[in-house]
Amino acid sequence: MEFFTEIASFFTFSEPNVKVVFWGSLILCAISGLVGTFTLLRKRALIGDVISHSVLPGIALAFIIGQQKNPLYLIIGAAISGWISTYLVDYITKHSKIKNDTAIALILSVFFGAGVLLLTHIQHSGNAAQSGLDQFIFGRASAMNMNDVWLFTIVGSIITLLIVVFFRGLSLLSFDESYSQSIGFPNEILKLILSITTVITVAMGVQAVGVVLMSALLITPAACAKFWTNNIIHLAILAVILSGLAGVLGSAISYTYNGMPTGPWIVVVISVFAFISAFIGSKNGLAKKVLQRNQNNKKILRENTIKLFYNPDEGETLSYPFDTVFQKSNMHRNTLKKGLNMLKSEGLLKVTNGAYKPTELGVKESKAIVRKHRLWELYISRFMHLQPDHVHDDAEGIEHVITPEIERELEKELDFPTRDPHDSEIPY
Amino acid sequence: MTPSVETHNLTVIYDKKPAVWNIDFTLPTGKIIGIMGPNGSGKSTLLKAIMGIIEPNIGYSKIFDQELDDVRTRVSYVPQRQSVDWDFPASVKDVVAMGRFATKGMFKRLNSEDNKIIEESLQKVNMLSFSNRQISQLSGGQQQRVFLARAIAQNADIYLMDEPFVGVDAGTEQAIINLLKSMRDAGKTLLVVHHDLHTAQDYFEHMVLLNTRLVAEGPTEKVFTKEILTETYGGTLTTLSKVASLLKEKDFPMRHK
Amino acid sequence: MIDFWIILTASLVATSTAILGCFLIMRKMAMIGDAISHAVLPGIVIAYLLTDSRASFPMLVGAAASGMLVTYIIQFFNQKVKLQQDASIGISYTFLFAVGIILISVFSNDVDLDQECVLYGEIAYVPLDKSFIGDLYIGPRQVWILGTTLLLIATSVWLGYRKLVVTTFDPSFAAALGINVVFWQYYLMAGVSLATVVSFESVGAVLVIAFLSGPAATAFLITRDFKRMIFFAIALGISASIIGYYTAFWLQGSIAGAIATIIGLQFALVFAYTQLLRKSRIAKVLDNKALT
Repeated sequence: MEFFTEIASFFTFSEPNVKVVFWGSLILCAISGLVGTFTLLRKRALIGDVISHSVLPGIALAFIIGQQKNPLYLIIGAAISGWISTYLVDYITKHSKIKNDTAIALILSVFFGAGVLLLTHIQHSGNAAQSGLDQFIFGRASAMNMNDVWLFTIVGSIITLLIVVFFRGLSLLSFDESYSQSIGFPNEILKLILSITTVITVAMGVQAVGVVLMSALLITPAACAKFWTNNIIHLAILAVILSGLAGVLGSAISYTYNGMPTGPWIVVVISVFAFISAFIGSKNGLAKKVLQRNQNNKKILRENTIKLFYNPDEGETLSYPFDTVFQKSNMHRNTLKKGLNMLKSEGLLKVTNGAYKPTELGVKESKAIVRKHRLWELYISRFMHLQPDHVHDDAEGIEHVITPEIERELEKELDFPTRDPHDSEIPY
Repeated sequence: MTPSVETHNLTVIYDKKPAVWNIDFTLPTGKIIGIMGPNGSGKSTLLKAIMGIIEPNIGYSKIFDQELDDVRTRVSYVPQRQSVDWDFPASVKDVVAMGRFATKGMFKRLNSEDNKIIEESLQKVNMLSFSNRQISQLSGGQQQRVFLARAIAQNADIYLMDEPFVGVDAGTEQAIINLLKSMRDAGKTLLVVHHDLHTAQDYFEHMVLLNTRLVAEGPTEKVFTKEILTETYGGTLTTLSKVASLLKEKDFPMRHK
Repeated sequence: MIDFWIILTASLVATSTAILGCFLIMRKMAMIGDAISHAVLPGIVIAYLLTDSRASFPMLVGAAASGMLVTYIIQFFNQKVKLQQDASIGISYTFLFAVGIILISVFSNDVDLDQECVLYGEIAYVPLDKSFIGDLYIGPRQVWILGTTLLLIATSVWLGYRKLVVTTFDPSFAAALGINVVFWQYYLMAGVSLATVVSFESVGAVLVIAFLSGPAATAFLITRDFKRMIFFAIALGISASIIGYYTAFWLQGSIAGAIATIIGLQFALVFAYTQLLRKSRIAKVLDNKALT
């Protein structure tokens, strides 16, 4: 119960500081969602990882030089060392046989190590104002103040504006770099815009979520959105919304417990979004695949069952008792029963005295599936030079995927055939 | 005579496009056999499926009428040269020595006999003087020769080679084909993926013509005809591609019970 | 004596990770090492909470479990739902790491692990945690654990050396020889998890990554023989440990941070040297051209 009152007190801004945390997290997460969309599309997700680990020495140096915790100095310091780190990764990869992933791991850990060394050095040198510097490692949204929020708003607006203005160029760059180059887009400038916005976003974000988890804010929101849309504008908008939501929820949760770090909670929330999206997302989502597979199995069962009633003689339609049908099929008894019931409920079969008889619609369907089967047999025997005794198995599977469009194509390519490779009639 | 390689209904589908479809053939032994076809016609895939490197969606293959696992020591595979990272810190000799691992297993030390085989193999490809050279310092043609030497060191009965003539200089190409011919004369079977039509007739006694499906297979004089080549290089079967992409997209099983 | 134990601890970690790192970077899997070393955290914390002790075995089991979990989640995203590889890695390990940090915060009264030590270890305290046989002092506990691990890893790599090398250099050829490429991949991953887990307490996640990738990368620039690359990597790792320790002492900062910095400097020096060498070689070629 206490949890809910705490949550309620968060969203009603009952404490002045809550307002700062709310807006700070929201703005930061939203911007990283936006910037991260392009990092992800350019397959440079782990570069975000490098930058976020690498801002640490810059923060420490800015502190040593400025002798105080001025947010602007710290952000500038962070941005500079973050930018150097990406430059080094690219330089090493380009100018030596060291591969990209190795360069990433190396730069990330060395910069972070150097940052830790500097931070611990500052702590031991006993500067009173140092307090709070180590918060950069795990982030502490509650340490933000109204000045930070104003800074985020201004810088965030500039970043958003840049991205909106150059949206077309940035999208093309992310989608097809060489094409973008070929039509004369200024790739180098576009890349610079992306790397500067990424670096600045990370430099701001480390205050709230910390260096280790900042990379998640760049990667995860866009990855979530990718499970829902392929349109780049929708992708960016969705990433911003999900990320902002995660920022607010995460900081609300961390607010309810004392001494709970904000960054990890935001990351957990956005990760949960990612898992949910992976399961139920409309693009590549797991649930969709399971549904599709069920649907396939149903279609296969339905078509295989009605096929059993195919009767080449145009005369009257016969009825068959269950055992006759069962012997004809090579299905499991219960599977066949399920198939028959399905057809009955769809009005393709009629049951009288325990014998099954196809309706007019059923006859039509049975002809249709046999036609597809035999067309495919003919197609592969003619175009793939397969012997007639090798084509049946292939057609058993393929007959279920042939759409009306493909069927018409097959008919045309085979010049409206009447007989299959086994010299059986192709029914129409 | 037992066939060298036979495949039955071999089908491999990659992401949304068929690589090879329903390949059915039986190849003779003791010949240099070319696998020909346009780019993306599934030549390498066929070789990999025969070697068990990729699992076929349907179908199977046999070598010398046996399961691959029972004849591994008699089979040698030469991957595409570009498939490995030549920056790997190793010498020419190190790479060729890998050819001995098949018989030596994990622990047995390479003895003087192995070293002799390695040297002979290098001699055969004219690379003996390079045996301590770092592989990163080799030209494309030399890299290919190293791969061949490794295969020769395996002392197998059948060699499956993926594009051994790509990106090599004319001298190397001639040296390789002479080597293949002398191996054939020693009773070996060579299955070679190749795409240059100009040289095909001179290189191969037997051919497999491939364009996703098997277009033709047989002695060169019988299958290297204008008609068959037109069919092989005359574009893909669009309906087949559509069906295959539907299969993948809808995750349909190709065979079911 | 304290100096000695700390340097020995770091060197033991350096050796295990250098051996594995050489394989990892040649397989382009350096970031998997990164992912595992962050992701073992929740496993360690849960094991700690369940057994209420810092006993090594339960922690090892916990860490191994979350190490496996992260590889599984990466595979799930990458293969089951077709998310690109880099994003799959990024999502998976940040998630597990965040969970680990939250667990530490929630149970901060019960868990004697603090957030910072997770990242950069407590190598300075290693000599305080002593081992005895009866009453005989036989050195710090960590040294014994890390020593055993090193022995285990060195033996496993030595036993599987040929197959590890073939599967690293040419996986298709290895598969054609009948070698189970996937098995050797997991064999290596198991080694990385083990090394990471046991090194975690003393040097922390980030130095483990530095140790895994740095010395191997520097050695790769120096030599063109894989066995020598492993030995160079070990030597570089150990020397970074020694120099790093005294640097930390001099700057009064974190030992792990200092060692990572030295690893970076080693790389920078060798890299700059190879660049100069290459430039002078290019210059020579150009000169020769100008002459002819």
